[in-house]
Amino acid sequence: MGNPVLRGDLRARSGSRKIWTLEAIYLGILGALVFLGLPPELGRLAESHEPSLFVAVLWVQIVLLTYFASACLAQEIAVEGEKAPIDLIFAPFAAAAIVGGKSLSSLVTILYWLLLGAPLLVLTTAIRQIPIGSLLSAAGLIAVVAWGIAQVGLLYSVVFEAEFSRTVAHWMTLAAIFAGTTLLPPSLRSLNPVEATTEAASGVPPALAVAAYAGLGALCGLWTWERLRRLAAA
Amino acid sequence: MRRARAWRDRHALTALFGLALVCGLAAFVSPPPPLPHARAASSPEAVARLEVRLGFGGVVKIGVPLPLEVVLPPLAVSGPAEMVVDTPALGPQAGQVVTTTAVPFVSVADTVRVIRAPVVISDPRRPVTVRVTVRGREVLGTTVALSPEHVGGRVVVALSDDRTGLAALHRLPGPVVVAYVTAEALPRRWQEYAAVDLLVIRDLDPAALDVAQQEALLRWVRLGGRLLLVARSAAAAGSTETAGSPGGRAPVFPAYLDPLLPADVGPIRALPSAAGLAERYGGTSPSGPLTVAALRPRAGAGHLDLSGVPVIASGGPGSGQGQVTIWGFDPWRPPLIGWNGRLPLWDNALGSEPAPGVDVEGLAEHLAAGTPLDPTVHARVFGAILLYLALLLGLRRWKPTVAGAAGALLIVLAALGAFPMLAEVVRDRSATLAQVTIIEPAIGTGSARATTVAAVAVPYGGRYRVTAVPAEMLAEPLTPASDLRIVLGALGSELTGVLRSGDPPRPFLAVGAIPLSASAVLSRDGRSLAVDLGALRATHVELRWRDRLYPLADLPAGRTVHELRPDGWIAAASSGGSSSEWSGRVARAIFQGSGADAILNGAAPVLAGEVDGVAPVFTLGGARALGQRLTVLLVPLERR
Repeated sequence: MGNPVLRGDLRARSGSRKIWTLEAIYLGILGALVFLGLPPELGRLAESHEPSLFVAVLWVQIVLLTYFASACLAQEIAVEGEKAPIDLIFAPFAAAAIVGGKSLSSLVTILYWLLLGAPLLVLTTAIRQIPIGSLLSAAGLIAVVAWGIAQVGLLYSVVFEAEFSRTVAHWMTLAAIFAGTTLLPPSLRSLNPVEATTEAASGVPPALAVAAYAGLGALCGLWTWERLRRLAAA
Repeated sequence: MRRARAWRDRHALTALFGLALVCGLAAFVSPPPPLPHARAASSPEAVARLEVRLGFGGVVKIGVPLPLEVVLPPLAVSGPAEMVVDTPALGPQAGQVVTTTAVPFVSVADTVRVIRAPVVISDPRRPVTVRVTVRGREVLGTTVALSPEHVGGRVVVALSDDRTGLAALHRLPGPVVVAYVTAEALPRRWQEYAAVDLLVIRDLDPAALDVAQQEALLRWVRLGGRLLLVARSAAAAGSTETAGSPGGRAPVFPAYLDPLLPADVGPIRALPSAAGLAERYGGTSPSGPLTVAALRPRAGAGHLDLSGVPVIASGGPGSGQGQVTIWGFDPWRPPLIGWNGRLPLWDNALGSEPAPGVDVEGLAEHLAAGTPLDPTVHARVFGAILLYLALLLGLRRWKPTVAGAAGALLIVLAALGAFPMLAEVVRDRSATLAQVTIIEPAIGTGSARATTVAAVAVPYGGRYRVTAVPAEMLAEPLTPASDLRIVLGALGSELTGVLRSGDPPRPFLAVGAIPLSASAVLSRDGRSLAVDLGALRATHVELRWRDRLYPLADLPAGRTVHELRPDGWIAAASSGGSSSEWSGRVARAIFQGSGADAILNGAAPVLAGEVDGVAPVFTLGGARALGQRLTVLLVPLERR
């Protein structure tokens, strides 16, 4: 915790009412889904044995976490007490410390939210005897995808000065990632976060999606660092 | 000399080189050292062979329990052992469905053992596999292929020293397949006679059947089997008086068959002609005189006389639901062996194919419809989720700091420990067993046929273990399942398998007999009904006949007499006399299913009711849900 930006962000997020509300919404939706999906899936065709409720919970989880994480970094959801990267360049922090701190605080928040939802997922998977490996694989994918897309939000926070254009760009990006990737050829279809989650839940290692979104996150981080460095020099 | 040494040296080198080459080649082409499995195959046990006797002299029928007898040669090792039989079944995926039946036993070295197990063959195209393991190691194995000509639509089993003469029976509808067997081949469980449409006993050493075989034979006949006894004139002549005779001399038939017999066998008579048989069964009159054993029909038995001498007797009160016929003539001997009217005679003995009674498949479907989850489970899960969210969010609100967030992780840890336990409770309480036992007394025999249909539901998927007791109840799956294993133990059968999430409930069937003396007698004018339920007490009792029913309410144990009002009969469709919606559904499956005609359209009404106090046949291991259970009594009314 040597990074002051990380320390400050974590402290701000721990005390934020908005984050508490986001957590309540996120856990409430997961809890409701787990409870309402409790009755067993009887009478389905013999061939369709996918643990559908488990996958549906994961879908909801990846959508919510991705949006919350990226919206927080893009300043679309303004967390009380948390400073924007563009404001931090006027403080005595290096651009690398700002980008590193923001990235890490986003990753820690995502992992924390995943942990909060874990008991609900474990309840669903244990009832249906789904291997824990599928759960861990899907959780890892969600963390990487949510962090990678949150990094896009971080980039937008320094690229777009106007809040409106930033929000539009953020939503366009989310639409492109969640809807646009469904138009890709089948070999690249696993770049769609929902498709990748389904594959991970069925035991297929989501290597392409993990690599792509980790790369996207790193690229956006580097771009943000470069932009901040230039702004600081100016 | 030097040349000779040089020649020797050259040849010695050549020989050495050749030897090395041969050794090298031998090393190259020789098989590798035997693997453990291959060593087992070359062990003394593997050299010895399993002797497998399947069905009746190799004749089988599809979809019914068959006797399987395996003679184990002396084994080299002692210890816990198991005979495993894999019987192929026709399933949705061709060639992949196999039901495994295992019989545990203790192997004693250098001892011949005979292991028996009932098996059901559903796919005759694939062989039956028999394996024997001792201490977990497979020591013997063989496969038994079935030839198409040994698969019968209707099966006649004959105990006769003459193993020819019935070939023409294959022309009867069915097709009919004849199996000549010796006494040792007769089953020791009455249920294994299910493949037999007619058992013909012509030559039977009274001592050839052991007690289990005798009891199985008697029970099978009383619960619906057809038995034909041929009183050979030679045997009858050897005993001047006969079975159950006052003379006390050696009987023609074994004494244990006496309670079943519709007639006693009298003295030998030579009839001038057998024209009466031709008049009755068609064909030209058999040429020449006919030597017969004159029969003395017992009270209540029907008989056919030739020249005033009873030569065929059938029926009688001792045979229960079955049919026992005695022929006082020998169809294997002239003039009947070449008689062209013998096919109708045999067709008459074989009878018509019995109409199926209770539609067990249809009943199983109705048992399975809907497996409601225990409401308390819903409440527990709701409470647990609510508590978790409340604690978590409450702490985060109460202590909005990094330490508070870290403290929330302790709640997460606790939930991660508790929720899997809650999941186990949900699973246990969702796995249910529904079963219906139908008891059909065989009037006058003191026993009843008990048919139990059960459905196991594991809604979230997983392994199930069902126990069927007592061991006399023969349990089998009703639908093909590739992962089903049946272990036949001394106390009962254990059926284990796996159901995936979303799979429909798995149905099972158990058939057995229970001691029960119940009867219901309707007066000739239909105004009075005398019911004797023995020790049983029945609720929601009603008389059913065709599409009408007469409600009788509850009946106590013992004998009761009821006056019946002619206007008391109502349409069956308007009945609402079941104890619950579920039992009403079961009643509809019994009385409106495909087997309803055989139950309801007989010559007399049937008394139906729900019975308490009969122990369940199936038990689902580990299930905490109560499940559903119903015992239905079906007593055909006698008219007197």
